[in-house]
This record gives sequence, structure tokens and C-alpha cells, in this order.
Amino acid sequence: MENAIEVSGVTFAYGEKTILDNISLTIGQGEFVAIIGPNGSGKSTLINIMVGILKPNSGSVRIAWNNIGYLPQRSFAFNQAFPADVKEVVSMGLYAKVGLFRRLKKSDWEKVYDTLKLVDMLDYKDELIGHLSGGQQQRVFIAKALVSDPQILFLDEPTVGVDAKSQQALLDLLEKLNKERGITVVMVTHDVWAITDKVSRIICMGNGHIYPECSLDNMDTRMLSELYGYPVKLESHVHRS
Amino acid sequence: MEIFTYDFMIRAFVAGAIISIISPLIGNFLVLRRLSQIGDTLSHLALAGVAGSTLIGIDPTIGTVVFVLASSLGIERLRRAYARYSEISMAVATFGGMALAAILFSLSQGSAINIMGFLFGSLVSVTLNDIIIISALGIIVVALIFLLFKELLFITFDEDAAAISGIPINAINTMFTAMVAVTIALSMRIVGALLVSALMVIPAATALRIAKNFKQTVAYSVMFSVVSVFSGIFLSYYLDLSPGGTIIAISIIIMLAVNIIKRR
Repeated sequence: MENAIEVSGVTFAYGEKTILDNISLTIGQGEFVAIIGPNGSGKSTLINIMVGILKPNSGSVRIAWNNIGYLPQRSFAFNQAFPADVKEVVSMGLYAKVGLFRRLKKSDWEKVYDTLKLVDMLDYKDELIGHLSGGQQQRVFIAKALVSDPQILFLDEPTVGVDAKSQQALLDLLEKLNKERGITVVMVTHDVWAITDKVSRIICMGNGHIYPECSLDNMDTRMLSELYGYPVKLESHVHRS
Repeated sequence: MEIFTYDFMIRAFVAGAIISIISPLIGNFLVLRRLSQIGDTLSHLALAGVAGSTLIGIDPTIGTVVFVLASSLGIERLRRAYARYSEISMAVATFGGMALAAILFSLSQGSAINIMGFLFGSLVSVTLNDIIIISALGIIVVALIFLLFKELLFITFDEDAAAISGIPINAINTMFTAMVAVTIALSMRIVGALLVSALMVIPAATALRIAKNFKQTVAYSVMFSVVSVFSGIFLSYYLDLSPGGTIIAISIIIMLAVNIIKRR
């Protein structure tokens, strides 16, 4: 399996505070990886460096393709009263690809509708984005990230702010995209319980380091308690073979 | 109709038609980016531009466009420097514009400048030269909005996401600020400096109440603006009222009516 992402010796600091300390990892093409860890562990910083929002102080990131999809943590931070409908929001994912001074063609709009169908939101294409539930909005933003046919999808805490049922539907969708379309999925989450039966690998982060001994196979209460810094009870641990 | 027998009224309607389209086009993006204040800021700077142009003896429309354009780029730099407190740059520029206008007006005392016309709008002061400038720059603003429509929409919806996707947000933001400056400088001839930002904000705010997507918002706002400007010019002529005040009063009445109908 070729690598989709190679992170080599990445260090990042805000002033004196080191957030990431010499992080190295590889993610293979077609993997579904969850980066877990407590708040402040550096996992969002790492994904921001991977997608190019932040520049590391040292080290490098190599991504196999230019075309990546990204769902930031603050997707819900948009103005909920914004007068854009669902198809307009999803179409934004194509704007950079279409290029400056050019309008979307009929084929681009067909792509928008196909992607909405993929995330089961085609029936809502004419709805104002602010009129949808949190889970529905999250699907629309995933469609926006997917509409340009990325080979890698990065998601930062995609299950925050949505109810349990929507969380499960969202994870099912990501699993479908990974298995059926071969999209490499990299997801940052603190919600370790929800993802263990979906992902192919977990990367555990704490205090700017990766815990190499932490994996799906040996993840237990002791390991998680050490990672999160407080007693963690793992109620279910079923991962795919 | 008698009103169309006067050249100055024909000029007023032509200028009105152009500003009634460009003001809400720009205004939608300003309102949705919570930057309504910038219209007010630039209009204060426009007054300084008028005073400065009069003082050095150049065409006030051209002088104001150049001055407001230069000031707007300065504000954009200030806005970036105070990215988390963008209102600081607006406040500084507003006060600076008023202070400069006051100084320049006092220095140009004795000239035949119609201060009231620039403050509250004037139908009679629009010259053929103004029409040429307003038409040329108005067409450029409309063309740029049309060409950059999707990028402006994305930046307005989520500036960070637009930047991540590869859209050159700094260049587009600078261009947009320049378009705001030009729109202000052109619109103040009819609406007046004190009310020019109202024509940007009120039709957009009205459209927000009934639009079902962004394109509808733009279309409705232009429609409300055109109705306000044309009926405002008519009424101000026949009732001898300030055109700026009449246009904005009508746009507020439309906004109230839409809100009442929407509530039912």
C-alpha cells in the first residue's frame, strides 16, 4: 500500500508552548484513520498542518495528491441566517477548481446533485442551510468537501454538535465513502467510543506526542485513562477485522 | 410628463438607475459579512474627498473616487492588522474622515461648494461629466461583481474555508473594498454622503427576509433599491424634498411592509 500522507519530524509551537513535538507518521492510501486524544493534545493542530492551514516550525508533510477535502471543526460557526440554499453551499466546494471569472457549468451542477445524493441530502437541495438540523448540515458540509472528488478527506471533530443518531449515520457515511469509493479518511475526534468499529487504525495523541503503543488491538481502559489523564471506562470495543 | 422635459432630471434618473443597481449589489456582501459599518465610514471619507477636490480645483466626483479608493486600501490594511477587531479600523477611518472633511471645508470657505447637496443628495447637481463617470465606473462594478460572484459568495459565507480551498481572498477582498469605495463615491451625488450606506444596507436587509437562496437575495435587493430610487426621485421632484431622504424613507417603508407581510 502506497502512502497517502507522510508526516516527518513535525514540530509546532505557539510561542514558548510546544504543541507538536517531532511527530512522524504515515497513512496509507485507502485507510480510515482516527486521530484521538484529549483536548489540547495537538490533534487539531496536526490536521491543520496536514491540510496546509498551519506551517510547521520544522519537519515536513507530504500528501500524495493535491485534491483534498477538508471539513474544519468550526463548520457550524457560519451565520445560521445566511441566505444560501444547500446546493449553493455544496457548489462552493467546486469554486477553486472551476477557477476565477468562470461560472459553474451544467456538468458542475450535476456533480453537486450527485454528491448531495451520495450523502442522502438531494431532497433538501433548495432548503436554506440554516433551516437544517445539525446532522443534516454536517452532511451538506461533507458533500461540499467531497464535490471536487478528493482522494483524501480530512475531518476535524465531525461528530461534535450532532445527536447520537446523526453521529452514527455520519460514521456510516464515512465508512461507505472509504470502502466503496476508496477515499482515504483522516478524522480527528475525541469521541473514541463512536469510532472503534468503523476505522482501520487509530493514532493516539497526548501532550504533542503520539503514543505508539496505543492501537485498536490493545486499546483498553488503562491505555485510554493514561491518554486522557482521567479514568476512562471503555464500554464497547468492537473493531473490524 | 413634465419631469422628463428637464435635462437635469434625465441625468438624475440615469445616475439613479446605476446607483440603484450597484449599491445593493455591494450591500448584500457588506450586510452578510457584518461590515455594514464600512459604508458609513467611507461616506465620511467621501466628504473629505469632496472638500479636498474643491480645494485643489478638480472634479469632485473623480477626486472623491480617487480619495475614497486610496483610503479604502488603507482601511483594508488596518483591518488586517486588527483582524479580530475590524470595527477599530472603521472607527478610526470614520473619525479621521470627518476631521479631515471639517478641516478641508473650512479651508475651502468661499468656494461655491454645495455642502448640503453632498450631505443629503441633489438632483440638480448631477452634470453630464458625472453621468459619464458614474456610467463607466458603474459598469465596471457590475461586471466585477458578476465575474467574482461565486468567490465573493464563498468569502462571505466562510472566509477561512474559501482561503483553504485556494481562493485568493486578499486580492478579492482588496478589489471588493475598492468597489465599495467607488460605489460610495458615485452614489453620494444622488443620495448624499450621510445616507449613501443606507441604500446599500436597507434593500439587502429587506431581501434577507424573503429570499430562499443567495441569488434571490441579490435579485430582491436590486428590485427594492430600484423601486426606492425611482419613486424617491419622482417624489422629491414633485414635493420638493431632499432626494436622499425621500429614497431612504421609501426603502424603509418597503422594509417595514415586507416585515409586516412576512409576519402574517
